[in-house]
Amino acid sequence: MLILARRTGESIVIDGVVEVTVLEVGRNGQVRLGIQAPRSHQVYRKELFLEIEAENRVAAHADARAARALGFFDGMGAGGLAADGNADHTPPPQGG
Amino acid sequence: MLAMLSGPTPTDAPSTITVKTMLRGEVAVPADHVITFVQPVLGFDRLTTFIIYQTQSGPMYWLQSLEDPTVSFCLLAPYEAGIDPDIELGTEDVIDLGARDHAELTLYTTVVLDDDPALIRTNLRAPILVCRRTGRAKQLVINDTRLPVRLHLKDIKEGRNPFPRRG
Repeated sequence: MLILARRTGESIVIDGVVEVTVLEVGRNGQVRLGIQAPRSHQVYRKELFLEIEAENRVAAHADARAARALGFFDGMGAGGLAADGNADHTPPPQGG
Repeated sequence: MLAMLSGPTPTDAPSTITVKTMLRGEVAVPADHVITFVQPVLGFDRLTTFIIYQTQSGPMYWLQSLEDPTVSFCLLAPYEAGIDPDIELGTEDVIDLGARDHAELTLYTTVVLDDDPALIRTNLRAPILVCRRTGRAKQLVINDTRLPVRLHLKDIKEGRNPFPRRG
């Protein structure tokens, strides 16, 4: 692991495109970071990354037994969708 | 052949591939239904090629890995289930997937199935976005704390929907 010492207001740059700035070092040990990165670089807390990874692993082995739970979904999808499996699955236009 | 995600309609006979699925054993699917993850499902970095298929009508789909037959996700098309997570897609998402516009994109959320209906849930925070035309896909992580990693579908089914579809 690369270790760099930085003070409040100082930054590091990653790959010339991601800038991480130390905004505040609290007495409670909490550090506030400002991150500037292109939107193609997803930035999120590691806890969230680990939580999603764990949830993916639980979801990843849906088998025939799990498929029986699908009876649960009977009648779902009454939100105006065609329930014939050949519907146009286009989501509504997204903002932005 | 299983009901497949709508894709381009070939004018001549499509080439098919045989896929080992968790649910239906070996099935033949059109080769152009294969989707490729340009950004992986988190925790499954080495798996890039999948197919999406349906075994019953409704908002539920299956995402089957072609590289590891034991990896099979249940997916929900949230809009079809009356759930609108109101996710704002960035232009980079459209570009990454080679989509010409948002209309070519379909959003799915992964579902955890369980014998106990109270535990059946979907992840609105990290949806899977697929471009139907190019077959490219990615798992997004949305920076919006409103969106739960575990949305219990029993609540939705019983009318407690925090993300109702508008219009």
